[in-house]
Amino acid sequence: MTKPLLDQTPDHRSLKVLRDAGVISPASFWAGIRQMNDPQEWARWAARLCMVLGSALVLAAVVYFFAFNWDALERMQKLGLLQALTLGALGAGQWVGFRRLGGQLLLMAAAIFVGVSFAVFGQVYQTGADAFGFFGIWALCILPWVLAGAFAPLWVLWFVLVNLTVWLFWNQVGQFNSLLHYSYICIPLTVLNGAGLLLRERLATRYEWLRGRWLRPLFLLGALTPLLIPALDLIVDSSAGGGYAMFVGSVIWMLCLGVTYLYFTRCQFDSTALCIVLGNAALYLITAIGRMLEEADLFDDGAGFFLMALVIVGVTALLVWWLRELSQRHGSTAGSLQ
Amino acid sequence: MKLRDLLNDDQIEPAEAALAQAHPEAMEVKDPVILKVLTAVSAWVASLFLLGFIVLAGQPDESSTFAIGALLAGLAIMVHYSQKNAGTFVAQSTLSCMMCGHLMMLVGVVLIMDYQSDEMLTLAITQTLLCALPVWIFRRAAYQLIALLLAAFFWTYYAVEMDAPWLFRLVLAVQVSALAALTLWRGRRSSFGYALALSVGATLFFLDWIQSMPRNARFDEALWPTNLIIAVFLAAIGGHLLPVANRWQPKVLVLFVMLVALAFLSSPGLLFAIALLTLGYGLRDPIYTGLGLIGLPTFIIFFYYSLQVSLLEKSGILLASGIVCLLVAYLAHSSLEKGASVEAANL
Repeated sequence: MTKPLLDQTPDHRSLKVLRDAGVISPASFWAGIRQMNDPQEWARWAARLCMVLGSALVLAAVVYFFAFNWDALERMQKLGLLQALTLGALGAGQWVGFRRLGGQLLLMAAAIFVGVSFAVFGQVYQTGADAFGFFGIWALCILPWVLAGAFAPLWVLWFVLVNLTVWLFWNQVGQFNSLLHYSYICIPLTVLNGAGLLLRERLATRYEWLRGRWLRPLFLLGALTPLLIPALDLIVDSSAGGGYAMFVGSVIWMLCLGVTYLYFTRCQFDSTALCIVLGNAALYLITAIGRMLEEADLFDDGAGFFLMALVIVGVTALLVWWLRELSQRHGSTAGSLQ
Repeated sequence: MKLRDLLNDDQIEPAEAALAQAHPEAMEVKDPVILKVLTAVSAWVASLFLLGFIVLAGQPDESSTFAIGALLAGLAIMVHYSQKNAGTFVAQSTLSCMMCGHLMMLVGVVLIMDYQSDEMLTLAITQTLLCALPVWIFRRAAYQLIALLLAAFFWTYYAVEMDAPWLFRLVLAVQVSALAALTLWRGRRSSFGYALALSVGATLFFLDWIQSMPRNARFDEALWPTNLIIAVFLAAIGGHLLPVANRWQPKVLVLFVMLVALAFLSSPGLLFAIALLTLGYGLRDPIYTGLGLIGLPTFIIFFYYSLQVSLLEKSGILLASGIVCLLVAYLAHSSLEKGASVEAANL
C-alpha cells in the first residue's frame, strides 16, 4: 500500500509543488530544501563542474598555444599535429569503448578533425579545389566510422556534409552558369533527406540508437523544406522565370506531403511529424491567400493586413483542430518513439 | 522528517489537494512542442499584420500613437484575465498585443516629448514606469523579460553616456535585490525571477562588452563594487541552502573565498553564472541551472577573448586557470573517496 502523500519524506518535486501552490511558507520551504542537502552530493557536483571547466580551459590553452605558433610551424608539423589529434581521439575512443557515450563523442571529434585536416591541407598547399570537393571527400572518408559508430549525431553530421556537397556542387558547377533554375537542386536534396528518413524508419525497429525522438522530425524537415521553397516561389513570383521547374518542384512537394501524411496517420502515428506536414500545407495556403489579396491591391489601404491577420488566425485554428482530431482518433497526442 | 512536519494544521488539506493534482497520473496530455511553436509564431505574425493595419489605416500622430498603444495593452490585459486557461494561440496573441501596445506607448511618449530633453533619460524613465505593467498586471515571462531588459538597457546606456558607473551599479543592485527578494526571501518560483536573472546576465554582458571598447576605459577602474553586489547575492544563496551548522565550516568559507577571488580576477558575469548554477542545483530548478550553464562558458569565452595580451600569454593564463580547476576537482574527488572508504570501514 502506498504512503499518504504528506507522510513521505520531502523531495524537491513535492516541495516545489507546495511552494507553487502557495501552501507552504518560505521558511518551511527552505527548511525542507536544507534538510535534503547532502554535502557529498554537492561535493560531487562541484567536482564534476570543475573537471569539465578545467578540461575546457586546458584544451583552449592548447588551441591558443598552437594559434600563437601557427605561422612558425612547418607544413608537415601542422598536418602531423591534426593527424595526431585524429588518431588520439580514435585511440581514446577505443580505450573508453565505442559503445559508450564518451567513446562515441570521441569518434565524432575524430570525424571533425578529419575535416579540419582537409581544410588545413587546402590552405597549406593552396590546392584551389572547389568547396564541394572538400565536403564530399570529408563525407566519404568518415563513412566507415558513421556506419560502424552506431551514433545518431554522427549520422546527422554525415547527412549535413552530403547536403552541403550537393548544394555547393550545384552552386559552383551544376547550374551551368545559371542556365538551370535552382528548383532542380531542391529535388535531389529532398530525395537525399527522404532516403535518410526512409532508412531511419526501416532500421529503427532493429537498431535502438536510431529511435531518438528528434531524428524523425529532423529528416522530415530536411526532406520537405527544400521543395517548399520553389512551391512558395511559384506563388509569390511566378513571372521571374523557371516556372516549369518550380511547377515540377511543387508537384513533387505535394506528393511528398500526401505520402508522409498517409504514412504518419495510417502506418506510424506521430503527431510531431504530422504537425510538420500540416504546418507546410498551412504555410502554403497562407502564402497563396496573401498573394490573392496582394493581386487585388488590398494591402495599399491597410485592409489586406487586417484580412491577412484573420486568415492566419483561421488557418492556425484549422491546423490545431485537425491535429487534435487526429490525435484523439489515435488515442494519443504524444509523438511515437518508433 | 515528513512533509507534514513542515506544514501548519490549516495547510494540510490544501497541500494534499495540490500534491494530488500534481501527481503524474492526474496530469493532462499536452500538444506536441512543435505545434505550440507553430501556433505561437502564427499568433505573432497575425498580431504584426494587425499592427500594420492600425498604422496604415489610422496613420496615428504622437498622442494617438500613445492612445492606441494603451488601448492595445488594455485589450491584452482584458483577454489575459478573462481567459485563464487560454490555449497557446490566444496566450501568444495577447502577449504580442501587449508588447505592441507597450512599444507604441513608449514611442508615443518620446514623440510627445519631441526630443526636447535628454532622449535616453526620457526613454529610461518611461520604460521604468511602464515596468509596473509586467510586474503587477500582465505577468508573462517573455513580456517581463523584454520590459526589464529594455529598462536595464536604457539606464545602462544612459550611465555610459553620462559616464556615471554609480548609476550602472545602482541599476544592477536593484535588479539583484529584486531577484534575491523573489527567490530567497519569498521562496517563490516566478516567471519574473527568471526574467530578472536573464536581465542581470544581459546587463553584465553589456558591461563586459563596454569594457572591451577602449573609449569607455573608465568603467574598467571600479569593477569591484559590481563584483561585491554579486558576491553578496552568492553568499545569500549559500546561507539559504546550507544548514546553520555547516555555514561557518572552514571548508565552506575557503570555497566561498576561492570563488569570490576567482571572480574578482575575471568578471562579475562569471560569479553571477556560478550563483545561478548554485541556486539551480540547490533547488533542482532546470531554468536557473540552464541559465547558469549558458552564462558560464559565455562569460569565460568573452573574458579570455577580450584580454588585451598576446596569444601565448592567453594560453598561459588559460592553462593556469584550467590546472587550478582540475586540482579542485581532484581534491574534491579524493575527499569523497576518502569519506566513502571511512564509511565502508565503519560498516
